[in-house]
Amino acid sequence: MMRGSTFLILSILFAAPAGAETLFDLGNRRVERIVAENDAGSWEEFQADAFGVFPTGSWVWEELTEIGCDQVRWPEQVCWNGAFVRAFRLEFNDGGCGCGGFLEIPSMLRLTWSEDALAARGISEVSLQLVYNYSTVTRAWQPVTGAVRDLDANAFTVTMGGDIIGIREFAIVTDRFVPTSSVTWSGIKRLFAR
Amino acid sequence: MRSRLFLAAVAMAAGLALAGSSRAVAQGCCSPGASPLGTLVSGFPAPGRVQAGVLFEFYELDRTRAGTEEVPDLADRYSRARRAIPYVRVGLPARLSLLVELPYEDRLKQLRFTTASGNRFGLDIENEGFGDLSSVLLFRAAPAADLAPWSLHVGAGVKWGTGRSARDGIPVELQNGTGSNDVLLAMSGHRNFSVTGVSAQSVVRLPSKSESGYLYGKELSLGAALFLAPGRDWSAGLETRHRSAGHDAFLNRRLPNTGGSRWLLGPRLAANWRRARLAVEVLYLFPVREDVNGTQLAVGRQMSFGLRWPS
Repeated sequence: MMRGSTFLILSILFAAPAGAETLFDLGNRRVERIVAENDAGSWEEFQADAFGVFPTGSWVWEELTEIGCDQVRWPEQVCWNGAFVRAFRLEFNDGGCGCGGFLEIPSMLRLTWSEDALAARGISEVSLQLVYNYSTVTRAWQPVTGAVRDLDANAFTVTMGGDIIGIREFAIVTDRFVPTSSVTWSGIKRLFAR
Repeated sequence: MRSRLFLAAVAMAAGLALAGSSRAVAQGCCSPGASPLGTLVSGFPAPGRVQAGVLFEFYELDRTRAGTEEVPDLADRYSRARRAIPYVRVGLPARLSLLVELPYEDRLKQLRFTTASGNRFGLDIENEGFGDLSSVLLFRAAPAADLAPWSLHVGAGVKWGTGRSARDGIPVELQNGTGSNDVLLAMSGHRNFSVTGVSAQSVVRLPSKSESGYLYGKELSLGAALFLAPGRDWSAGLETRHRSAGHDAFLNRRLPNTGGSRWLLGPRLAANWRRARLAVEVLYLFPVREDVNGTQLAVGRQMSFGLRWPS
């Protein structure tokens, strides 16, 4: 609990602070970096006024968590042929003010991989690509356009703008990954239904 | 003739209301409003006399709307505002009276987040302190006689930016004041019949930009009551209140999830305790229609309790 003055009570209640969630005030108008738990090299960074200009007290939060194949959405698209390397879930919530959620200035996203883990599986770094899903309507993992693969830093970096409210999932996969559209999957389902 | 004048006055008040709400406008995000409508309800003192009172108001904002639709809240938000509003009304010559009020407010907002990974955390923000001082000079436009079963007052004033408005980390809707000196235009009328009566009030607030660069949307508050007064010392009736406000802006950028309109309706009871020279009023209002811009917390109920010592 924080007390700013005699008549001011601003308390933050963490019931189960197990994740890497960060609550921040857009009204601070400063750079905010949300770092993944147990991986300081993976983060998303928002520029000051990235969502527009808002007054003090415009609270939003984001959580960056590493997740496995048992937690990603539509795992059949990324986990079925050994393509999967690592995945992250980014969850953004602007419910504190109803003011954010659309990035006018793109954020910088950086996600890392482990060289040792790749070597253990015999995977070459140059085969890696970054894919993501966002829309629950398309239900599809797609390559991230503009993602930069830095072999020295063992990380992908990408700038992303637009709407980010809700859940975005990113996965580092090998070139075995094949983009799958919802149309394709519905076709396959129809095939099996016969 | 007098009835016609009164109806014309009510029509003017309604016209004023409609002029301000011709498009989707209303409360700033999660705020009950900042105009002195409640203290305009009862009568006005004769020259040289003083009325004093305290109005206690409670607002609960416990539902989230997108336009008129109730929607799930991303942060399970809840907010409430409590106000104690001491006021005085001073009767002046030339059919004038002066209303001055200074609210003391306690505003709370709670946020509860549950992440996809199952983490739960929350944020409680509470702010308490004196709000903005308002002063309104009212003129009894009609009738000319001091004693009449009806009246129409028009007035203008200022809501002064005396309350603190820039406490760090506190959302704008929880700040004590607006940080601006706002022009107020007011109208109040009543008509008593043998055992019934009607009253109507309207306040238009024309905000100016605060030092921080925040500009509230124009606000219109409108109230009307129909009551039955079978005895001399008590009355019961129905009251409706409308509030609409335009979009707020910050540093000249319009904030999409601000502004909207609401209609509230509910019972009103009033009584005079002659021995103590005390008038008591109780009001409970619930929403009959709310239409917010974007997605906002909306008022679930309003209650008020007033004490007034007649002059």
